Amino acid sequence: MFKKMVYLVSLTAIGYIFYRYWDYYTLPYALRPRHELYNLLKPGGLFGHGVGIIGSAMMILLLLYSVRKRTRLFGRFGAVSRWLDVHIFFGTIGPLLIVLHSTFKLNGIVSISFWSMVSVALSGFVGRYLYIQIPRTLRGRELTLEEIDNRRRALREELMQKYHLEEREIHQVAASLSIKAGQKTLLGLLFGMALADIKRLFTFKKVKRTLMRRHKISKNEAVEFLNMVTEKALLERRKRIWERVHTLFHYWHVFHKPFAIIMYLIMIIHVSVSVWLGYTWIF
Amino acid sequence: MKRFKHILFITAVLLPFKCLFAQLSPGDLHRSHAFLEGLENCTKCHESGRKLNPDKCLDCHVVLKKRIDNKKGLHAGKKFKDCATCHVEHHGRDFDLIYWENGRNNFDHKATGYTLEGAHAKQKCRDCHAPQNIRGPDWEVLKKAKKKADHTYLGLNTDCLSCHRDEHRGQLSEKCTNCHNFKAWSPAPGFDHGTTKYPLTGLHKKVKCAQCHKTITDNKYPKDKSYVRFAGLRFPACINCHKDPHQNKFGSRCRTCHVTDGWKQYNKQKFNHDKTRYPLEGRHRDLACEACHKPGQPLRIKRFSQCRDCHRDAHAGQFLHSSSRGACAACHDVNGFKPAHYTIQEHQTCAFPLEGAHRAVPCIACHKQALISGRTRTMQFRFKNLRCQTCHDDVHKGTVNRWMTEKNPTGRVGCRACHSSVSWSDIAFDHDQTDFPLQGRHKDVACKKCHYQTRGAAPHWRFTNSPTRCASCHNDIHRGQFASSDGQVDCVRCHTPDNWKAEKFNHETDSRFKLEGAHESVACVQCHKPAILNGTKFVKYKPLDMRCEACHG
Repeated sequence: MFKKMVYLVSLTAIGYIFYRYWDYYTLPYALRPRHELYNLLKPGGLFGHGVGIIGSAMMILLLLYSVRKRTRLFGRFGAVSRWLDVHIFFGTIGPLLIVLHSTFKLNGIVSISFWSMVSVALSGFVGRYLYIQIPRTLRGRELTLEEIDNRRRALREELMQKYHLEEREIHQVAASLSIKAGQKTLLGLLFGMALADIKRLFTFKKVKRTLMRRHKISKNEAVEFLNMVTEKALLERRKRIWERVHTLFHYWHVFHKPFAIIMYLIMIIHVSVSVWLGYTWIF
Repeated sequence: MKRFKHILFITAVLLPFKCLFAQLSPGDLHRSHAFLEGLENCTKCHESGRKLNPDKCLDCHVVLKKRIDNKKGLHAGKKFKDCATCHVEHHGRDFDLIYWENGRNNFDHKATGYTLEGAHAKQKCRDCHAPQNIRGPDWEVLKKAKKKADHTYLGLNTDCLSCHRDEHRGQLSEKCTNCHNFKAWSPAPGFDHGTTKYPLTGLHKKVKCAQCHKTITDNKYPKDKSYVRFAGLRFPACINCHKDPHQNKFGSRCRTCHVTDGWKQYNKQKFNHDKTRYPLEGRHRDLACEACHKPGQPLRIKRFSQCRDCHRDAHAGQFLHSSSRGACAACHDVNGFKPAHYTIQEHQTCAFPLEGAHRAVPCIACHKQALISGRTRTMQFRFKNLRCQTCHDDVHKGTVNRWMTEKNPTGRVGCRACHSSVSWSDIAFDHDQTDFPLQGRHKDVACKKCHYQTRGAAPHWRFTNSPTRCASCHNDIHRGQFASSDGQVDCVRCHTPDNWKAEKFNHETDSRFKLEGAHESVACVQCHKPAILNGTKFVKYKPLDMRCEACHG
């Protein structure tokens, strides 16, 4: 809940800024210096430079996740999954702040850093999606296939006992929830999963309303039931694609990291030149 | 191996962008600054730790630096100290380097130290900031700095003539704003004709400029071939501009009489009427001009040779047929209508010379107010006849009319038959010519004694049919003692007009009692005693008792 609130507040604030200064950000470059807020919003302005520094700081700080994951440093400061949450938060908000800093004015060598950042951030979302396709413990450890199967069976027993359902009936509900996978290629698998999951956002509500009307049950009962069915179905899907998701995750790392390195290198040059020339914001 | 892959990937990605290392700049510079592109040139504008240093800009922009050092122009202002405030760079080759905060057309020119007012404020920038308006040493400096004349805003100065041609062709001061403002060329509100050598007064203020200041064509400029002449006008004499309606009769100094308030608003005090064809004399000098020169009428009086041209004939044309033809000057002069200078001597030459008492009579006694020609009541100078009755009443009530038409024995007629003009009582009547010649004491008796009748209805003079008997005038003091049988008394039997004594009475012959002896020496009263009859005393002469004892008793 706290995580959602932080995201909500942060994204709302950034969204408001975009909305508030949209007329400036959408102005052609040549006209921007004529805008009344040019000196405030320009990359070197009080606001633009400020969000640039904050965004850059976030982009630097999120590297601590890699340190935490790869070394024993910060081992006592929470589980890896918590660090990943911070990593994802910084990786989400930081680029948005950098976008505000850039004011969409992308030229020169800094644009490479910018587009690298965009690539890293977007691939981060894919990575996060792949990450959750691999079942884990609460502390972030991957479950083995056996552990997955045990959990799936436990859920099936609970559903059958609690709701007196047959295996076939559970499958029908899961199918109606659009949980499927099975494409042969890795990219097909990825997009098929993503589409099915996006589709499920809509089918879940539809099936929930159908259950509530047909079986005269409450909303909470319907949601609880569907969540159990969804979890069971996802476990079955993840068990099936377990190996292929691992392969995808490996390739993702190969894509995600180099762009990150490019981004950081140019960012360091950019910041260094700026500081050298005296553009130190309020400092 | 894994790390090697990463490094290889990064190198592969970055290699195509090697050239971009030279593009650390946030964008292309303006084409005028294109020669400063490149990483190695950053410090030509930027200074380590000091961002963009305006001093670096002014290292190149020396013309501007000079003006800033001299605290001249827009860039000398504190607000414009930082070049990048207005001149934003790194926005491309064709980006307009000059940032006009409120748009170029709304630029507050006041910040340059030269406020645009009036018509200047309506001009476009390049209307003034044009190559042809950049003159003098500034132009050389700009050329040296390789500035394009059609691109720079420098080089102008605030003298009007640096942009405007001299409409007055050097006739007037070069400080145009002494007269003109920035709103429009015309009118020139700052111009005060009062400060010139010829201040405008009176109606000159209302005269259009062009009436005095003529347009001269000189074809000096293609678009301006003429100018208005303001300087060098000949103005001391009015006739330089005005026609002389007097044809130089009063000289060329019109101001002696006239003022600029109007041709008719002449200076009355200074006007010398003696120079006109009608010099003012006498009472004419005291008259207001308007008395003759009526307002609303032409100043020029066409006819003025005769008094009647201006004055009303007070005598209602009575003298028109005289020898003077009614010329007033025969009797009057300009010193006043009264008194007339018509003298007694002149009167003596007229049809009625003044004689006797007439000389002492005031004119008005004869020349009374009368209705002349039945229209005008005025003094009468012409009479139908000159007979005495024209003026004098007939105290004789027509009783002596006979003498009005009939000459008396002396050859005179009318009143003059008896009277003269010396005095009324100076009678020249010869009573001897009448039926009653005056004799004795009658000669001494005033006419009135006999001819003034007090008896009857009203006292009156009576000259005709006067009774000639003594009793008609005298009382019979004898109480009828000597009356005849018909009652008449014949006084002349005893008395004469010489006195009352009965000189003609002879006691011897005229009485029955002759005086003899002692009776001759006895006083009359011894015999003729006073008696009283009806209360009246008288002397009794008869009848007396002639007996002796009647007296000697």
